[in-house]
Amino acid sequence: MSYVLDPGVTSKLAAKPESIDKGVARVLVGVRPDHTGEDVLAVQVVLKDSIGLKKPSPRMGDRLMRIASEIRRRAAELDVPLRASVRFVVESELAASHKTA
Amino acid sequence: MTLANDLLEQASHLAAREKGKPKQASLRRAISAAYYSVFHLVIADAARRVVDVPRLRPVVARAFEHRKLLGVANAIERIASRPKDQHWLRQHLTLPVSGDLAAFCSTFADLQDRRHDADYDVAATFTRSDAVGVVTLAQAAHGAWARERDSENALVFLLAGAGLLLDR
Repeated sequence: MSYVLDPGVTSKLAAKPESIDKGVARVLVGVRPDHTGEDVLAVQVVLKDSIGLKKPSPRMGDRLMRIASEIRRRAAELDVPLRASVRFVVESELAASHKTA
Repeated sequence: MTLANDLLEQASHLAAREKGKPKQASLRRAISAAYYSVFHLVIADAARRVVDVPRLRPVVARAFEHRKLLGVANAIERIASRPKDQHWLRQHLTLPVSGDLAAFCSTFADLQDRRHDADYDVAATFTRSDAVGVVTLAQAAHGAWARERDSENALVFLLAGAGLLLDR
């Protein structure tokens, strides 16, 4: 049986993405099974195109980790019992990106 | 250079090659190599910290399983974010769990999930930003682990990941 997200929790997790990071356009939240079959809180962080993910950079890595940590902190405060799985995608590639949250 | 660093460099190379329209094979292998760079980083450190005899370290490293490490990473992340929850591993950790170890554990779990998609989900299509995002996170995980690797909590992660700390 899948965990059902309370709409209030969803909206709080996705709220005001710019308070997470100025480069975040929006946050998409859902539930999906991970590769072990366990349900996870599937969070897709949509980054503004200006941020770009054209080539790897250590500084960007720390920034992405901070964004993910902030979302996980929010989920913990909201008592969501699922692990938050966070993925990043740039806005212009959202439709083409392999899976949506 | 270590195997972990070589794999990270390879992942970065694969994620950036083929300007314009990258091949799916390159993006998938970039994601997979990024995860494996972190996996090998962890098991090499575990062998180094647990075994004094260098020739035995590669043998000990073989004892690590992806799923067990994932379970321990998930547990530590959970304890870090919800320290009042009950979990058998909690008694072995010094609380609070550092931000670096918590971030490393959650990133490890995310990378392993992406690696499964990249290696086994033939229906999936990956974009360059997918691959670059994963490689970028793997780089950050290397950095977080470097800052945390000598801590007692990191040792707990390694021992539990090797099955040497049990729920009893």
